[in-house]
Amino acid sequence: MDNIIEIKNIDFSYREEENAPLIKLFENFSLNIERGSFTAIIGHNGSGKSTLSRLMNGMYLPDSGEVFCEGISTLEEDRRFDIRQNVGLVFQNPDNQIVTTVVFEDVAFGPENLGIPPEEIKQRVETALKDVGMWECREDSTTKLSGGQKQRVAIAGILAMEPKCIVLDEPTAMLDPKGRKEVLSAVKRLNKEKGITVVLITHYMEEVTDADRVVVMKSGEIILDGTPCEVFSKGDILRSADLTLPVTCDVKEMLNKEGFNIPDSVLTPEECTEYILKSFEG
Amino acid sequence: MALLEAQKLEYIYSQKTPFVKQAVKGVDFCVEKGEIVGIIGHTGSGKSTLVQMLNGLLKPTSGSVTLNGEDIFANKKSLHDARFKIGLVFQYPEYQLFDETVYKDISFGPSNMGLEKDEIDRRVISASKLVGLPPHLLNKSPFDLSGGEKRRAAIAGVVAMEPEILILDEPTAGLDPKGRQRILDMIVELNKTTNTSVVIVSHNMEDIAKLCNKVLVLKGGEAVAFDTPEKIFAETDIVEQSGLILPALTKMLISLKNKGLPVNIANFSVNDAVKELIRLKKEGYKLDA
Repeated sequence: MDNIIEIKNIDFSYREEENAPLIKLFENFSLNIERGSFTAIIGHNGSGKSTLSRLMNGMYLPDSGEVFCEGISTLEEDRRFDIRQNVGLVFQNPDNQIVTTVVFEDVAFGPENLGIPPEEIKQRVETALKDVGMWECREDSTTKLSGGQKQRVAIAGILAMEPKCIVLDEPTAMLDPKGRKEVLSAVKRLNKEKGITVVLITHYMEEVTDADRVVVMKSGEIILDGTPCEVFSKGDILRSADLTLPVTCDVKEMLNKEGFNIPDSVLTPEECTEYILKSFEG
Repeated sequence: MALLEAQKLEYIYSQKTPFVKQAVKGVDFCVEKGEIVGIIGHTGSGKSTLVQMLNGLLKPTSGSVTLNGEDIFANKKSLHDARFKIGLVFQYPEYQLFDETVYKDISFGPSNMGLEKDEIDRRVISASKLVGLPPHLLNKSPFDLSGGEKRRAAIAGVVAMEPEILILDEPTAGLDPKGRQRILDMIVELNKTTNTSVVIVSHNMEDIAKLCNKVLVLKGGEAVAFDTPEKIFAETDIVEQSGLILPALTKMLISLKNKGLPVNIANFSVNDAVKELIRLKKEGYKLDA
C-alpha cells in the first residue's frame, strides 16, 4: 500500500508542567495513512488525537520509533521544511493562525514563503478563498472577521500552499452549522477532486460518515479502525470511549431492537427515513 | 411583566467611520422568570453583540433593556446592579481564568459584590458543587485543570454571583460529547433548583431544541422569529433561510410526516421519537401505497 504518513512503533510522553511527572500517552503506537484517502480520527478530549496531528508533521517528535511523511523521517531536522510543505496542519483556534491584517495577504503568506511567483500566488489565493467561500471577504480586515470566517481563512492559507496532505485538528469546533458544512465540503472536494490526502480530527460524529476510514482513539490507543459503517455498528464500544453516535445510528439501533430492519450501512438521516417508511408500507 | 425585556435594540459598530456596521437591528424579546431562552443564528448574525447589551457591557445605539421593569442603562447604579443580577459567561470563558487557585478565581465576582467572607465561602462551595467541580480541585491552580474543568470553573465564577439571569454564549463550544453533556445537565440543574432564568446562545440545534422554552432566531442582526422550539423547528423555511440547519432528528420526523406517517415533529429526544414509531408499528399502522 502507498502510505503518505507512516507512524511506526512510537512512544510519546509529556509533562503537564515543568518538573511534573512524565505521562505516557503512546506506547508502541503505529498508524499508516494511505495516499489520497480521507481518514477521520475521533476520540474524547485527552485521547491523544491532537498530539497525533502534531506528530504527523514533526511539530512533536516521538521519544522512540519514527514518523515518516513521504518517506522522510520527522527526526531529520534539515528536512523539516519539506515535511511541513507536504503536510499542512490546521488547528482548532483560528485566532492563533491569522498572521496579517488583510484576508488576501494572510492567505498569501504561506505561498510567499515558498518563493512562488506573484502571479501564481494570486491564482492560488483566489482558488483557496473560493474553496472556503471567503473570496467576497478578500479585502476585509482579519481583525473584523467572526471566528468562523477566520477559521476558513486559516484553512485557505494552508490550501494555498498546495500540500499533499492536510491534517485538520477539530477545524469546525468553533464554527456554526453552515460554516461547518462549508468547510467540510471544501475539504471533501479537495480530497476527491485534487487527490489531497485528508486527516480530519474531530468529535462530531456526523462529520465522519463520508470518510473512507474512521480511527477511534481512547487513552492513546486505537480501539476501532474501519469504514464508517463498521465503526458505527459498534455502538457499545464507542459509548464506552465517551463518544456519542450520530442521531441516525441511535435511531437505527433502537428501532432494530424492536423488530425494524434497517441495514448497518445506513448512516444518513435521508436513508434512514426511507427505510422507516418502507417498514410501514402495506 | 417580564424579568428581562429588550425593546427595539439597535447596535452600530464604528459609527461615523468608513467601517460602520449595524450588528443588531430593532430586536424585541423577553425572558420570564425561570425560563430557558435560546438564541440561534448564523455566524455574524449579532448573537454575541446582543448578549453583551443584555448585561450592560455594550450600550445600545438605541432601544432599551429593562430588568424587572427598570432600564439598566438609566444611571451608573442601575448599570452596576445589572452586571451582578445578569451574569454573562463569554465564549471560551476559560481564557479568563487568572487567579492563583480555583477557589480565588470563583470568589472574584462575589468579593466584588462586597459580601461577607462566610457568604462568599458559601457561594463558592455551592457554585462549584453545582458545576460539578470536586472540592479537592479548589486549591489547585486553574491552569492545572482539564479543558472541561476549566470551563466549569469559569462558569462557577459567574454562578457564584447568584444572578437572576445567567447568560451563556456558546457554553459547549469545543468540548467533547461528554463535556458538552455535563455543561447542559448543569444548566438544567441550576434552572430547576434555583429557578434562575437562563439565556443560552448556541449553534447546536439539538441542544436548543431539548433545553429551551423559547427560541430567538437572529438573521443579519434582526429577530426573524421568537417562539417555542416546537413552532420554530416546524417552520423549516425560517430556520434554513437563516443559515441554520435543523436538528437531524427533526429533519427525519418532518420528512416522515410529509410522507404521511402521523409522527409528532416536536419529539426532540431520540427516545421519544423512537417510542412513537414503535407504537405506530405495534398498532399495525400502514401507509397507503
